[in-house]
Amino acid sequence: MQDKVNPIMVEIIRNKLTAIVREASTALYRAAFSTIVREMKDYSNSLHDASGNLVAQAEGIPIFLGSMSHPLYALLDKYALAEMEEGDVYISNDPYLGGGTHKNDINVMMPYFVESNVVLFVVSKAHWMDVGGKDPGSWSPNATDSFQEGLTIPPVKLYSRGRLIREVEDLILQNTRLQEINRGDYLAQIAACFTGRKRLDALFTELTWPIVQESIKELNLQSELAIRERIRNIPDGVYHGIDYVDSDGIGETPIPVEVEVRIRGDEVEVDFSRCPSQSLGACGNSALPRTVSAVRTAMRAILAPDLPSNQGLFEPIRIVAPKGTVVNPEPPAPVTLGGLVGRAIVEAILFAFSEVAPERTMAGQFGGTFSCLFTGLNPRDNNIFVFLQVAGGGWGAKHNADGISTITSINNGFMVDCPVEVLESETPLLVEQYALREDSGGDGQFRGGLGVRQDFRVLSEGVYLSATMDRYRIPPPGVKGGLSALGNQVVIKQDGLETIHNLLNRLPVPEGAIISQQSGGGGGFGLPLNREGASVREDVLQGYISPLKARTVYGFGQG
Amino acid sequence: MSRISVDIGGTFSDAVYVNNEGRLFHGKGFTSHGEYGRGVMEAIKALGVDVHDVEVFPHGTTVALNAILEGKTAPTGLITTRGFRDVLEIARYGRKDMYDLQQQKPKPLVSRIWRLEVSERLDWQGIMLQALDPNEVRERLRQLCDGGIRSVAVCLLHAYRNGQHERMIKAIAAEEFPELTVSISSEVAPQWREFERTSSTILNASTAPIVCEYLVSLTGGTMDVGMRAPILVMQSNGGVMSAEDAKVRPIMTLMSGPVGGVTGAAQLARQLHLSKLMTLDVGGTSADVALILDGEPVMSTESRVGDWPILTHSVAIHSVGAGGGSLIRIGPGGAFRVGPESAGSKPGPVCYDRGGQEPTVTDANVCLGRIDPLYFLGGAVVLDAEKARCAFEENVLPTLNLTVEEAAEGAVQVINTIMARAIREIAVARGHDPAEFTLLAFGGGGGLHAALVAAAVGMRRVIVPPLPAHFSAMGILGADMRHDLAQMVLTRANQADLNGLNNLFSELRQQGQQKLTLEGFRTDYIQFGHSLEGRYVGQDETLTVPVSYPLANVETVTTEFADLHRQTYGYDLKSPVEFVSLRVTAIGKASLIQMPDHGANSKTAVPAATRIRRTYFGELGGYVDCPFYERYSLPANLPVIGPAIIEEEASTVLVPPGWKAYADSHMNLILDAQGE
Repeated sequence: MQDKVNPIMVEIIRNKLTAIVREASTALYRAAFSTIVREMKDYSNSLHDASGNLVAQAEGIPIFLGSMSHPLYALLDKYALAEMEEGDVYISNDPYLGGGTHKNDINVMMPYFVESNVVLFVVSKAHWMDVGGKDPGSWSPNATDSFQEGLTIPPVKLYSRGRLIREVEDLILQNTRLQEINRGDYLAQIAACFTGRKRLDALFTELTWPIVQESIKELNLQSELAIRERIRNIPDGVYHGIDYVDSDGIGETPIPVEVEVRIRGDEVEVDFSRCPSQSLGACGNSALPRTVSAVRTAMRAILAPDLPSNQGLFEPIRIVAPKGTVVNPEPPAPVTLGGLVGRAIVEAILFAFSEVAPERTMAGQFGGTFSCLFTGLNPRDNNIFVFLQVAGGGWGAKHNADGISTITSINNGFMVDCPVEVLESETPLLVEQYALREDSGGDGQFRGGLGVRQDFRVLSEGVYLSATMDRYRIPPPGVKGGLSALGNQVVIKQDGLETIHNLLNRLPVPEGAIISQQSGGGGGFGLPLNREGASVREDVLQGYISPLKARTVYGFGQG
Repeated sequence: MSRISVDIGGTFSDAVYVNNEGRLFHGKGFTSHGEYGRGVMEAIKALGVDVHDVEVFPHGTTVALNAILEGKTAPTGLITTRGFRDVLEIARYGRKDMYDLQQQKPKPLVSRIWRLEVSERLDWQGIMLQALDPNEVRERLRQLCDGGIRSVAVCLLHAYRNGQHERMIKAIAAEEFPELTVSISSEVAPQWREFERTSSTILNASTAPIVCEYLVSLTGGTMDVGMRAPILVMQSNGGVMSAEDAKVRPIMTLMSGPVGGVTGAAQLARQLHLSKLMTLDVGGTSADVALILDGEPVMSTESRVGDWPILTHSVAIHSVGAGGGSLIRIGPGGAFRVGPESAGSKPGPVCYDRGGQEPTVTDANVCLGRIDPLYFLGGAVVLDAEKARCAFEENVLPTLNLTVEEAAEGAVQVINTIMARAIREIAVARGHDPAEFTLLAFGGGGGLHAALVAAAVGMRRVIVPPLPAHFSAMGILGADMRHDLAQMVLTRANQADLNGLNNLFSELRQQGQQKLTLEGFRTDYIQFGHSLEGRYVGQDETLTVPVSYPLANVETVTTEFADLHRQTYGYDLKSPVEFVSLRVTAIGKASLIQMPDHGANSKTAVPAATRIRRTYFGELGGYVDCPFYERYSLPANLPVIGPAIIEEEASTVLVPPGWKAYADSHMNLILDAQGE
């Protein structure tokens, strides 16, 4: 192949690098065993340079974007490149020391060598269903320190020169509740890294490292130039946004996530200095790597949904996140459910941009990861089961269109639900209803998307329910006069009584009880009275809004 | 036996005719959208042959596919289990784009008003929890009828285990509402996952009236010209079915066109004893790749059409947006991009001179001298090479410090890299190394890219069949009649009842035998294939294990399942194995097409170039004198050394430097990488 770098070579190398990370992802997906990886696609694979910066990433979950680099930064703080050897593989999950997101997300990292120098890293991240800690599933809204949330794995060596270090594997797996499933998933992650290495070997039979290195620089530069141009098109100024997490899982006080976005020329500064001190509970903290990726997710959604993922995209973005706050807590604050603060960060930034570029944003969406986690003994095989359903909900209305109904949270990307027919075959649950929630969208000239309800009947004794959510007290807001939407809730029906719940930590649910997971809608855009009559009529006809609402909120059908 | 086949493409409908002596004729007609039957008849007329004695008439049709892609399906109603009418609209929360806030979710195939519920319920084993009330069914059907709906999809929860309730609804409709056409999920797609099954059933119901109307009109057309052969339709599974079956299961026609080529490739693989073959079908807007192992196309049980999933047993085809019409552009940040946007057939590449302004891959090949502007479609169309050059100069060169030729060759390299990626993806996803395969290239653009794409994935041999631009029609011509029959069983292997399984196999065989006999196949032309789909308990995806009938014992199947699992996924497990469903494939063999032996030119001693043209190859330092050959004048088994171009009417083959090519005795063109 040619030996000079030009835009054509750069494009060819971009395609080849994309193929490599996708192939690693295929290897992971094909070998993985857990439902969350196989059905819900909670994993990602990426390539990084020797200083940890992102080179290429397979499509997966946006919140992994950018957070993939942090485990490497931590690894490189601890180990010098010079002490790494071919065939070494490292593992970590410490959210402070480079885990990135939460302890369930296990990073597997492999240095890649050209002429005995580390030039790249292959990284694979996947959500394990259990990493120990106080509750099955390692999913505890009321945790008050990080130790309750599971085993801490600092960056440690798992393979030395191609050979598994059995002691490390034992130590990790025996501190988890689902050893066999976890073993299957981590072997799949290892397979992904080895696949990546094999494909890189093939790449370097036709290309030299200097050419690839130069091309990676060019790719970063292309992304950087493109995003700088788009930032320049937004007027200079200081814009404010605020959003809330209802509770940290312990207290009842909402946590404000306040952001100041400063645009100067082709640079953006995102400042969280006004955010409160770190929370006691697990729902109220986002470890710094997650904060960084939330900012990047927001900036990409607003400015660059179409550009390839690499470090260049992030160059013009500066983040100020003071230590000891909810967006950069200090250990051992609990952070497993930091996705809720992460969600609020994304939307606070969207609201800030709504002031100046409403055509690029939307009204409030239904919330962050709204999960119901069922655990217990499965009477069909007498094994422990852990089943997690993450609900979608409504997205906010836009300046020219209604919001999307029943879609994953902004931060959760291509994650999908577990089908009813699959979950009923694998758990002692029977779904009685899976339907749109009428009237859950925020009203406005453009209506927010609808949320959803899924009702599970519990078919056996000894089942426990944990639930995580936000936006149950402070609903998804509308913008420009649009109204807020219904929020999230879990309704439990037993013995003829209905009770409304929000965060739940291992609540026993008796046989016969019905658990209704009800997600919120998206906020409206513009005044409801400006909505076209035909749209209101159609909404009533389809059952998206009730006739009562059509009359009282939209003044429809009067006179 | 004389036969005609037709393949409806985006721009042209291709017809191929083989007479009793095995002589081949081909013809083309313009595809007229909305009146596909007319294009088919035009193509048949263009053959210029007497069609009275045609005995077999299979064809590939895009009628159902286009109706879905253009959103022009028939108004349809859905009947489903109480509590689940929104499964279709919830759509598993899926989104199209990871980040884009301005995206829209696809509009539900059936609006909420026409998604009706009935009280009934089965559990995960197919055991009835709540009975169906016939009176409620009547009410729902009445509602749909009164609303002017004529097509109805029925998808009840867990019907893949037990279709009794669905069949009751169908029976009531047939008896009391004859104006309704009803599709039920247990017949259309008896597999689990309620959203995907609902989508499949609705797509079937909503295309049925369209396919029906089309087939009725086509029958009229063939009768008018005196053709008495029954119309057969190519299915996504690689076999053909009768027009009557196609009217009931139009969903099986969705991949009708591209599958024709893969079926032809499978026939060729058997003829040439190639155990590992991949196909590369390059058209104007996309490149399709598929795998053929031991003469059989690799199948998949789930695919997508537009925004919607379908659960049918189909040939696995991986499609990427890379073709002759792919646009060459400067993207954000000065990035060089080729595709996936395409100039399509309108306006088409700049050199067609039909209004295209932006350069395409075809324009790049013209600028490099690899396509002779005077010999396009055998000289029927003269291309404007100068316009193509200008398009590069205006659109691409200002940001790229390169010559037109460097940019054009770069674009070809990029598109080849994208095609190579597609090949790796489909092979690797099934545990194969593409380097072990032979590449079969067809479609108008296959021959221009195949050798370079093959080189990029380590393949050393490429085959270009005769008439590559008509290869889909050729494949359809030789396709067997095929019925795929399945029954979901969901039972653990160690608890499986051997007699029960054999009885089920026997029932499915009888169904198949009956159908084929009705379709006129003699017993000695009927074959059966049997398989069990299994998985480890707790696993989601299944593997299909071919078995012999009658089953002698279950243990052998479990051992073979473990072997297959290891081969596919790299490991096997101690966990118990579960049989998910049982499959029978009933095949009515088509008689073989005898291709004429290589003709008159086999005595020529050396291949003679028709002309020498200046052609650009960067690796040779720029323009070189490149010989151009007429394909069907090449002597058999004598090599042409690259760089060279081998032309025929609707296709061009590039033999790159370092490759050689020769025609084999079946008129296939074989390209081999030379040296190490």
